[in-house]
Amino acid sequence: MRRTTTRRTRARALGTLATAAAVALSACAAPVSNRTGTADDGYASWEDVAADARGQEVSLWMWGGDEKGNAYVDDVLAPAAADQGVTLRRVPVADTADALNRVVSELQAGQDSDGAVDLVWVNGENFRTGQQAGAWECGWTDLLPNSAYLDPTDPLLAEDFGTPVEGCESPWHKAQFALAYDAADVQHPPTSLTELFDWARAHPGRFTYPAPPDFTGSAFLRQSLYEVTGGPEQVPAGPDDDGAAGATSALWAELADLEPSLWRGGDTYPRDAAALDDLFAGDQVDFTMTYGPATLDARVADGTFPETTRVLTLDDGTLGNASFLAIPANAAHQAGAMVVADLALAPEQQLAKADPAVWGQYPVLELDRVPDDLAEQFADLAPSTVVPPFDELSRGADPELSADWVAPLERGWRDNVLTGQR
Amino acid sequence: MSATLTITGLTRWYPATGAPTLDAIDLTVPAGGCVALLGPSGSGKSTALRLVAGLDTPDSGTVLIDGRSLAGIPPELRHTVLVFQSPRLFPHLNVLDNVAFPLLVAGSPRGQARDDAAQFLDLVGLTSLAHRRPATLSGGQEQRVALARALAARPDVLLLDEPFSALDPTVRAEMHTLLVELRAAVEPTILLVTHDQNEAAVLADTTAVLLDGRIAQHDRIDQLYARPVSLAVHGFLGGRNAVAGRVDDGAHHSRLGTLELPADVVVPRGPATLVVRQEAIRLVPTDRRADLLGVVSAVTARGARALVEVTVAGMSLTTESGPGERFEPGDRVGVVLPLDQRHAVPPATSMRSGESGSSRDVLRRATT
Amino acid sequence: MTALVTPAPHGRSGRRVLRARVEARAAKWGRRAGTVAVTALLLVPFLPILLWAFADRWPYPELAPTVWGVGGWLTATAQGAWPALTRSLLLGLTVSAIATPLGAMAGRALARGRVPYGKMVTALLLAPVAVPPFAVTMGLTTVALRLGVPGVVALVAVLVVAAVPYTTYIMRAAYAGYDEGFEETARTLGAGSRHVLLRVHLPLVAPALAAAAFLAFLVGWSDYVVTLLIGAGRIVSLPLLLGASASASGNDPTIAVLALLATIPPVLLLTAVTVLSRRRTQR
Repeated sequence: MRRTTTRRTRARALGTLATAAAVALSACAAPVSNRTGTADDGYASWEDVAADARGQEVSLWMWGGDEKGNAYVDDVLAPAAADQGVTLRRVPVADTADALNRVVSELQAGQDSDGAVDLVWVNGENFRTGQQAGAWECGWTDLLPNSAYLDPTDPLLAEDFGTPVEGCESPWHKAQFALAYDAADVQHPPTSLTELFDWARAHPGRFTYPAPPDFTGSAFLRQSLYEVTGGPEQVPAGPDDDGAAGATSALWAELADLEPSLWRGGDTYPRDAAALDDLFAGDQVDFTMTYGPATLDARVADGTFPETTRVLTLDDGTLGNASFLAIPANAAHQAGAMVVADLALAPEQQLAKADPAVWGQYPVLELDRVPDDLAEQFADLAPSTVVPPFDELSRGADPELSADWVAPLERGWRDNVLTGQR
Repeated sequence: MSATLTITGLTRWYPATGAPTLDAIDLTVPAGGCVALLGPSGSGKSTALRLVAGLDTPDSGTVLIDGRSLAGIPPELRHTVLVFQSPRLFPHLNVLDNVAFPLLVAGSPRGQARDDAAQFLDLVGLTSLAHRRPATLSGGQEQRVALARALAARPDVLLLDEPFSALDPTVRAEMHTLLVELRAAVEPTILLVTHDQNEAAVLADTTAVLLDGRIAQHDRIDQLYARPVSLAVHGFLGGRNAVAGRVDDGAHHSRLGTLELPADVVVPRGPATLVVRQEAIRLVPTDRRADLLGVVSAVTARGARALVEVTVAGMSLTTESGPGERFEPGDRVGVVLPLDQRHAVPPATSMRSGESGSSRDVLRRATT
Repeated sequence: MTALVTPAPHGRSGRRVLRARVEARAAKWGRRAGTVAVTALLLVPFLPILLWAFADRWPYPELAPTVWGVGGWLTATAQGAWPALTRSLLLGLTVSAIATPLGAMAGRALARGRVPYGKMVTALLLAPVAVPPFAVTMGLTTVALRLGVPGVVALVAVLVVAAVPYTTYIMRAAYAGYDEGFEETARTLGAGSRHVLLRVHLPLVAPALAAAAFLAFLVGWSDYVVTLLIGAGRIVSLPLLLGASASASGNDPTIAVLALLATIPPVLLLTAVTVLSRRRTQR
């Protein structure tokens, strides 16, 4: 069965707009006290947290479009939480913004405790919107015993799409953008996007990418932006900053120039990553791309993708990000939520969900800090000819751009590339 | 299953109207009898039935059944069944279950109620349609079922509100025959509301003429025709000839001359209007003995007969020509007013507003 | 040729009867063909859903699934489709059970002209239908929270408010065409108020009641945003699952199964309502 749940926690424009409006409203109508400091009812010790958590039912609101992720939470994480006396209840949402909307509504109504949402799987735009609304409980992540396995200097964990994390969310997964190719057709794989574009021009019709705003297609735009500008540090922080227009016009020029060499001459683009995967599986093109390369093994194993499928290693690295678990400032069961967030960091859990057969999410832990026997198991996890080990895959990983960039880039691609030449 | 219905002083005055809809009605329907309440639309006939049935409450007056007052008794406990012009068969029940309805709500077990209902259905000759839906019936069939259903309730008094006026003339005639048969078979006490004189004539023992909320006259239908108590009753029943004058010494004096009145017509001396039914007047050749001489002014065909207008002494009289008689405008004719058909009404007994009007004016007012 | 003709068994009139019968049969088949065509037109959009529900693999350019199976059903079951279906049924039925009598009472009062400014009230009743549900829900969430109403109670209350305009509208139309003479007839036939209600009034408005109840059921059955935001995630209903599943690409078999589950109960209900009301009026 096919599983390409490549999309991740990501706000739709409408949901974000509504949340932003609600935030603005709440600022006028019922000023939300600035809750982004440390918890005033903060716990002094983990023992207190664990004791309070016992018997609590934690509502974890998470994007429900990833079937494997749902199964992992229900079948692996929830039983482990139950062992610590915490009942974990998953609330599937179509959009993480829905969870945020509920929290903001509660805060707006003056309900600053006993909220319905205890824990949210979040990153990027929704995290930032929540920060602006004072929706997140902060300063609790250092209490988690398992946070000892994290690298405090890891840039992917310090900033979430450009927004400082500041102890307001606890890491859960890492993800790495990757391109894959069919080694049977591509004898000399490119080592940079520029080389890839040249290869595409030399092999018309054998490369394409999903049409943004598909999540994967949108990531490809950002990766390409890094390529044409020379790296993340060369891209202005926001789309309206100085130099932003120059950077994007170079990107549009490159992609427009590439278009005639794409599959079907660029007349049409695959509507999403799944469609691109189908083209790759049907040998219509020689490349596909994903923000979840751990799924590639399974697809080779079930015969969907050719056995000669390989992840393309780029010299300059690829986009990487982390996603997190955040506790709303008014969560009814904060102690229970903290226990779950801590459990989510436990090496055993991180190991379990790193298994592509279970979920295939990359760990956020620094393996040097993990007990040796477990670290070995990470290394042994599904030895693959398709996907290199995560430390190799994530070498030189580029942090994501500020979430502000996502929508303007998608709009710009539509206006300058999709409709530009017609 | 029949009882005597007595209505006394029944009055209903709707707040929005300037005059009472029903004004102190007195009426008695003997057990097993049929009284027709005849009146133009808007005269308050239907209101009277609703008050008897308990669907409306009188402002004053009483309704008695066998001497027992119905005041305060809800419709379902009165044993007075009302059949409307629209038969209102329950569309979700088949014919048999419609007839069984009153038996079921009275507490009969379903099987027994249906057996019972089948007999009433037989009474109206529709046994073969027992399992049909009302929507598949003709208008006449529907009204037959409505009658069967009403009789199945075994009412003390059956109230019929223009039950046949929506039917075709031939079907209506069949229904009249049916009702006569039903009366013979089960002898219900019937109060029938109608605006159709013929219906009243065929079905009722006596007829009460209801005009402007009051009972103007209650008598046998032939008496209503021959001896109306007022110009209004005369006009409502279609009488066309009304001649103003005065009564003195048992005769009526007017521009037509002196016309003797029959002995049973007792009118006080003074102003009075001579009324003669158009059917009663005969036209004869001028060489034959006649009461008056006149000239035919207009002839209007009316099926087998014709309406003939005759000018006598500058006044117009209306007659009906007999079969085989032909008249042309300009014919000189003798006019015979048979003595027993002559009648005079005093002006004071005519309607509130109709004292000076001709009978035709009254008729027009009554029917608009 | 004429010599070979065998005598018609029923003569000329028999032949005419025969021809009439043939024409009647042709008309009947014509009608049936029409029904089939319309049904097919309505079912065409469901064809891919049906195929996907039993497709384990259906790569892009293929016209039909390449691997058939029940993977979608297993995954949907694992995602909690059946408990969600039960919750949605309960939610729909609860909303229907409250909104239908409310709508009947309001509709009757409006149709009888017992409500002052009835037309304005009708217009106001329909106002929630015209306002974007998301905006209303955000506002109502705050109100419910301020009042301290428990999530599930607030959820049912808001869905009832959303359903009442529909039920009122239908019942108002039904009562506008309702002849109270039936009740008067029943009373003079000896039926007390209970018999009038059960044996006359309710059967007469039953088709409209069924339609109103069906619409109210749909409001509860199909709601996403109110269930999630006002219901505070306490009730994970079928639309929640479907919405979550459909927000990703690549879940097509699961989405198809959930979509089927979301479609079948209303279709069954609608069929039942239609068949029942037809049985009542025909025969």
